[in-house]
Amino acid sequence: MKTVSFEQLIQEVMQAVGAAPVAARAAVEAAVKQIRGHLAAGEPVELASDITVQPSAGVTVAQAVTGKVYRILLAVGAVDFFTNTMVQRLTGPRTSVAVAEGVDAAWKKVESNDPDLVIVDSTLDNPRSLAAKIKQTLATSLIAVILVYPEGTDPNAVDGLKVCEDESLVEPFDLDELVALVEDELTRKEQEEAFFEHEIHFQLKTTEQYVEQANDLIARLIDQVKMSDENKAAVSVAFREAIDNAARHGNKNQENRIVDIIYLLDKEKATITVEDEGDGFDTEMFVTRGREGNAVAAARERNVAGRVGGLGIMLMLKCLDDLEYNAVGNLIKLTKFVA
Amino acid sequence: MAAIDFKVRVVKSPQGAVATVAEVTGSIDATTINQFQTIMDKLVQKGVKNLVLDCTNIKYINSTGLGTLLKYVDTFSGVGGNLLFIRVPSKVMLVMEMLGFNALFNIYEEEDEALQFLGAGVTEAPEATPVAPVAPVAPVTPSVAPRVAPQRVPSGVQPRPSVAAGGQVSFPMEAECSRCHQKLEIPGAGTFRCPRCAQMCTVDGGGKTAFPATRLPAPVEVSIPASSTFAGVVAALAEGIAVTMGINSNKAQSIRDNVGGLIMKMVDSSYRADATSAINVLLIPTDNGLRSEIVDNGTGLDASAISSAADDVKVTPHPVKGNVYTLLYRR
Repeated sequence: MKTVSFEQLIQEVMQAVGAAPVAARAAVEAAVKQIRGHLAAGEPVELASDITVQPSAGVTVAQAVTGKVYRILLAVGAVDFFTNTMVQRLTGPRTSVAVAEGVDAAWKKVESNDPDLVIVDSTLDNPRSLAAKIKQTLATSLIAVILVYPEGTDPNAVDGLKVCEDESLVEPFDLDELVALVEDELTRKEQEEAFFEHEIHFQLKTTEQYVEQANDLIARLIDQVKMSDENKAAVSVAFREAIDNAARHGNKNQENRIVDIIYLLDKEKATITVEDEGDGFDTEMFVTRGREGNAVAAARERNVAGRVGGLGIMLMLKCLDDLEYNAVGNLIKLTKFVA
Repeated sequence: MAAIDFKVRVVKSPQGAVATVAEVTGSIDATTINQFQTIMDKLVQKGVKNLVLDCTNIKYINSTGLGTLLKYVDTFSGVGGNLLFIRVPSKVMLVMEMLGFNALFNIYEEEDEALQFLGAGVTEAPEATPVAPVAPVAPVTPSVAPRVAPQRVPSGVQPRPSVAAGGQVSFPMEAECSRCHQKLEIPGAGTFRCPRCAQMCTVDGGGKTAFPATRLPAPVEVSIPASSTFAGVVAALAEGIAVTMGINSNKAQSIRDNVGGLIMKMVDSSYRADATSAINVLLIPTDNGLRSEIVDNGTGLDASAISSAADDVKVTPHPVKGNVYTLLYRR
């Protein structure tokens, strides 16, 4: 689909009404200014009986209100015809699009240009590594990431440990679909920036190897937070217990079952949710026992009975400021205050 | 599959105590726990009594591993030995501290310190220096001597006899009670009980003294509402433990007053008598005496509140919240 540029529109108006170039430009610019003003006030503008511009029109409205120019980075393996088409389609009066070839070049641009959104194309070699790096780094994690998957791929598949992108598209797709996603993501990003400093969602298959990778990942994320080393270590300790419980008790160590993890950092606290695909358990009883019990006595009781474990919830409670389960008992939320 | 590796060697302390040192590499968690237990069980079966775990290369211990370590601390203790920990990485120490297990574990910086501890377990009669005579202890028949499973003092080390001039042992001889350090005047060979703390002592005809290793009462961990009512309960508990440990009644009474007084100060000044808050107290009998660890909410107390009958006072920040007031009352 071809996008009509602002200059072309002025030319067409000149020809249609026989106006001088200066007058035609002034008239179109004035009309656009008025439309933007109404949209900023939340008022739809009816241009004709069949064309109405709505304030919810994503990028255009957000830009009209904030006046901000959004930076979009298109990361591709090599620039081709389709790349140029995407650039042309995404470029507008309030959006600038840059292109980077290869993961390294893209990461350099992410660091230097601070884009609002990155589209990671399937032609890129190891596209997932770029998405993961953006999400794992505190300074870049709130950048919206749209991952383009090759035809026939299931974007929801989890193979190992997967750092999730914000949105995805599977080829072939309509450019309008991409533009709509970009608009939605820019709006979402702007809203979430007001609350969060770091946000990452990852999933893993239930194996020892990926559980260990998840532990390492959380340790790296927490390491970027301004809190004491002791508190950082305490969060890692609690997370180890939580993911171990999810893998062993929730998912019964079945590889095809997924552990889903969301890490959120705001100005006050770090929050981690760990969800398994198990049936849950009587959380109230275990948490009460954890809060009121004596760790040494509990451990000795288990040892005498010839069993191991039973101290995980107690340890988590000691390490954290808050611990919550969902009603079923297959999702745990760990909270640690930063200050 | 995660693995755990043990490198084992046998060492002897300068004082003659024999210990097995195991350098453990890997994590002690749910994935390795069976392997860890198998190796530890083998060491116990082989008759190892004093095991020093070198934790330098332990990457991580989770709650399952921690509970299992406690099991082996109890196992070694039950056979009159010791499980000691050296070079514990901070990450591992944090896990121990979070659940208060560090208070139960014998943890040392270096191997020589651990060996020194084991060597200190060698019960020796003091040199024959003049001491004020004490009342002779009442002999008891060997048949009533209890079979005591030593807890902290390693067994298997022969005490040195008290030798009079000319190489002959002369009775009455002097000895020091291994538990309360009371000077004793031993009238002759036999089994005796210390009149102060009831510790048993066996003396053979050659003047060799043998004390069963001290069996300490279990530690107590309580959380109480920040109220004066409960301060008194904990104070009485501290006194009871002190008496059970063989601490004399005057000192035990002063421990009661001191522990109770400190908690009362906390209730008043740190918690403003808010009984919805909790004060955590740990009372840990040790070979040196009774150690109390009391955690406040971080408001802090002035120095006068903690000047006490305690022989050693330490105030350290709690890893989670507040301060830990550690007071040691020696025997």
